[in-house]
Amino acid sequence: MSSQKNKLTLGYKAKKYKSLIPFVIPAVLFAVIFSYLPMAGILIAFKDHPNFLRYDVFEAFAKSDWTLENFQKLFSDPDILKYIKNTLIISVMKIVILFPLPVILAVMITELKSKRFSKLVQGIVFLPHFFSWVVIVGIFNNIFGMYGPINNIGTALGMDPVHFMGEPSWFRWLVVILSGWKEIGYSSIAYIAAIMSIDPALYEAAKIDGASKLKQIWNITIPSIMPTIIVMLIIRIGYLMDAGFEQVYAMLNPNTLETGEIIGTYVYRLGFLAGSTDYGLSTAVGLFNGIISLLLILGANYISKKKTGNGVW
Amino acid sequence: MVIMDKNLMQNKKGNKIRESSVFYTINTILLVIISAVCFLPFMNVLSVALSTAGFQINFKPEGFTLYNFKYVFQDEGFWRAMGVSFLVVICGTILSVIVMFAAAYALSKKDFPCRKGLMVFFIIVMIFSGGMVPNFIVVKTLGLTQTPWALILPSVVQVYNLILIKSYLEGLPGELEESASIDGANNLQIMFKVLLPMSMPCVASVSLFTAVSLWNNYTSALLYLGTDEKWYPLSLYILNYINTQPDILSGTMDVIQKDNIEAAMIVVSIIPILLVYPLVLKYFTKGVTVGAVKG
Amino acid sequence: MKKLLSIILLIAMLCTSVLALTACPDNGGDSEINMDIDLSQKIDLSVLIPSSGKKIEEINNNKNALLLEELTGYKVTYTQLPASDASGTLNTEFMNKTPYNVIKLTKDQFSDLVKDDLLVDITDALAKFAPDILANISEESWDVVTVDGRIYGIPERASSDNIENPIVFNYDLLLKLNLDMPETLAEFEAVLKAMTEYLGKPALTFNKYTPLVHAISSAFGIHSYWQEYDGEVLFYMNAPRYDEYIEYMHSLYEKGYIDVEVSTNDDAACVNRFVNGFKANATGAKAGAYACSLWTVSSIVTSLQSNEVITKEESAGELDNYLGYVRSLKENADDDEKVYRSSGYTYITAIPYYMAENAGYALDWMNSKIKDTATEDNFRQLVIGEEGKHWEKTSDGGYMPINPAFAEKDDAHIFLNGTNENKYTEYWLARVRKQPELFRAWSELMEDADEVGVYNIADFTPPLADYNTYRSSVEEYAQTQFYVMLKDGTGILDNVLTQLNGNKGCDKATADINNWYKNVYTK
Repeated sequence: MSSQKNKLTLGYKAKKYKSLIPFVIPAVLFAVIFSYLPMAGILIAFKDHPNFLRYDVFEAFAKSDWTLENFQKLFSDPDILKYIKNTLIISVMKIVILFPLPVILAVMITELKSKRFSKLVQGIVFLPHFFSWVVIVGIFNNIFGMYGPINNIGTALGMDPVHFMGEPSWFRWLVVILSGWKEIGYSSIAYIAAIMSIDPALYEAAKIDGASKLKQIWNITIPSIMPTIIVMLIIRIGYLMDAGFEQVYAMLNPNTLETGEIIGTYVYRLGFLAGSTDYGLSTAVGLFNGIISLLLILGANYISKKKTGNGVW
Repeated sequence: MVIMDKNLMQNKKGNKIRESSVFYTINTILLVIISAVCFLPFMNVLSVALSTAGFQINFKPEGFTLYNFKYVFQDEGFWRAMGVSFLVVICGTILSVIVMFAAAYALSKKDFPCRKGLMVFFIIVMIFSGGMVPNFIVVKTLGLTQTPWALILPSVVQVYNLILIKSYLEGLPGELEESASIDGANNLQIMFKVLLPMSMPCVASVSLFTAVSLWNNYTSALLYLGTDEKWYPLSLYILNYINTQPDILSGTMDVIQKDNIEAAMIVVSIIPILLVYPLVLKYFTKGVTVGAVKG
Repeated sequence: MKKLLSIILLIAMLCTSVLALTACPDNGGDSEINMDIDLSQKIDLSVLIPSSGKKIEEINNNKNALLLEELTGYKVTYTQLPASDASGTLNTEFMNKTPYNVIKLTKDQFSDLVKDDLLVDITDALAKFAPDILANISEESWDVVTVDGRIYGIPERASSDNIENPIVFNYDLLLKLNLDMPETLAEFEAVLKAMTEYLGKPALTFNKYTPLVHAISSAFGIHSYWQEYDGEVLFYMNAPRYDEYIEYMHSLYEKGYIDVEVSTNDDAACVNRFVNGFKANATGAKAGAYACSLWTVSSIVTSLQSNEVITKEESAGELDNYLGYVRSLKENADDDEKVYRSSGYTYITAIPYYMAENAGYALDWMNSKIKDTATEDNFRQLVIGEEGKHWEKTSDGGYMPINPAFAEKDDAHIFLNGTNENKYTEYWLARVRKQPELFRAWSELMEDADEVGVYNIADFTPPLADYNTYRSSVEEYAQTQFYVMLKDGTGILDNVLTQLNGNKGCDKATADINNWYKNVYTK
């Protein structure tokens, strides 16, 4: 390929991209209006109770003092390190254990021969996503309860019944199990879509070469959807500080606070302190988590680009 | 010799068939188990919805009754809320997916101006939020509060979907697009006539994500709709029903059956999505898109 | 170049949007109460109420609403907060300055709004426009809405000061085991032991929100959440004998008499266990005693009937063969009986600051609703309706509802703004009478209520800055730690109390309450 031809294509591309600029403008506009404008409100984290109910935004801002009180409140609990630790442990467990499962499920579903059965399975595994955590935890309380099926099996095998939901040592595992139960099917959709775009000719070629099913999966399917997997992983890593507030809040009980209290639930408890008109604390937490998320995503993306050449951008 | 050779070949073939049939059998069995486990929550809620109050329900109805479903079917507010949800989901999904697809199309070009900067720009949208008050003030200033637009416009930008579409587009072979542009098609035509049909699995899944998140979203409704019940979507309607403290002293049937009616509402609210899902699955057919390109 | 262009574009958009924000006009603002209004020229009123559980059209066309329009002459449009996140929506309504003449608030919402200076000082206007409200609401109640000597709302006292935290026993089982209803801690333990042995499952259950089993803690002198001990008001965890209470509960737990799952139980699970205790062939969790709220009795009766322990006919009558109630246990049989009596304020009605001008009409309207004299019985009309149509007098002087006409009074409480405290409790009881077993339980628990009842002092406080700030965190912490200590014993109690009085803020809340209490009660 001559350098002249290369230059020509480049010039051709640049011309084409100029006409593509309008395509991003709507998205940018929506983002600016509905996300970036309100982001000025992050300053609330540094303000001492601006009274938005009485005054308009700017007046309320002007009337309140600058303060770091919200951050002090957030970090004043001597146990805060424990909560951060719990958050990270649960989050990492979720990533390590649960992240690969939707990929595997997607592969399994797409390997089914019967179209009907495949559709049925897809329809069912995606169901739990629609139930609120309160409903899911309620069901789980019964299944894993002292007199539920799991303990019944256990006692039949001669074990003592365990109050799983009240055992600190079980709590994180239960969080992972429930989270998997609820979301694996739903998360697999993106991978199924990715697998659908793989060129069937690749499989034909492999079959002729005599590659086994597992080999085909390993050598064709997985590499083909790798970019999607990496993108999902990077985004997931960005949410490391979020161990699943709604879920943990619904599952937590006094006996499991030790291993289960995460930043989200802790702040929610703190929020009781603040009253309904105090928005400073939650904004401060949002800012804190946001900065960490941003660093994580940038870092993960950088590493991924270096190692695999794939990334979010 | 010939016979032996044939035997050998059959053997080899037989091995292969056995191997792959073992794979299929295990795969099928596992998926049946997984499906059964995933079906449990639905069974439980359905059983509660078909039961009389006062029983402990696991996975089959106790004191079978249709009262709860009758209550839901006669509840005008429920159907009005479902209408609002339909409106919001249909408009919101179309708008969001088109806007996101357009942006992803531009950003999928490796040399697009400010590409990196724009991606970080969108990542920030995903991560940072101004919080409730500033969001409310912006929406109010635009005059959108107490209208269904407040449920649609603030959630048009779905960065997660943007990234999914973008990485999908990056993986598509560029030939068809190039040949179309050489044929004189403009970008808009390329997007709608070439890229969109080629990306149907991705667009279908992204539309599904958007629709589901709009269907389940009640926080925007809580924040932006205030006390105007006429635009409450189904998610908020059900949440309000769940959070209502029943007036025990009135002792009426619907108070006694409240938990069961809740379950019936949840079941009915899932049905529309279950009906739409097969339509989405239609686009999850292996090989169609790429085959079309090659053809 | 293109980079520059897009940046410029961005900045331009930002600027226009910010301009749009600043250009937003400020509608309404501070105003004064107009004291010289002509009350004969009534205006239409707009009223915001808490979530009613009904659709707003139903509320606006409710028979009681129409009745009130007729009685008071005011045309009123009602709007309601959603059942979810009501306080959040209330805040946005204030940001919108939605023109509500009157807002009905919970005590917490009232405290928040007063703190932020959002409610009208109605002290003077009350005297001029609302003499009947002033006359029919007690001094004690006015204290709750008074800040620095000025009144900011109209208190609505709870329907009745109930003794409502009994332990319900499976009386059928007690009879079977030849046991009496327990009166002392020792008897109670013996009952639990016998029941546990019979059922093969821990006999006592309660839900995850029961850090103080009032019937038991009463034996240790801890009756209420905030109570006076030797002149000092203390939170129950700081009470002198709290450690003994925990010790006792822990010993019951250790002996296997208390449901292992109390920390995750909701009411439905508890009711289920309790009802299972009646069924000989039931498997799974069972219980023979349930520390619950009086109001759970309705669900227990429903569940007993669904499970065919009792017949439909039985469920419509008293169930004295099935259920027994103990409101308090004693340490020794001859101790004085004292027990927690609930009270407090369900709602407080106030006027938003930007609607001060027409406060006179609003007060006049509410004043008219509360009148209950021989000639003008608006309040009675609203709450229980007409004699002979909705109710009749019983032999004991109570009000017996006439069904089905009385059903239209089920919603009357939605339309109250402050109550005629002299009359409300006896009217309200008409509703309890509709459910015979509930009424039996209530009557039994309420025997000599004035002598044995101990109130929660915190129910009567006005908005107190430190108390309001720390209350929730203190209560939450106390609740969670109870379940930990129930399981593990008093070992960590010292540590818990240090936390409670340290960073949970109980010390500050306590000081705040005592400060107020000593001021009020030394007067």
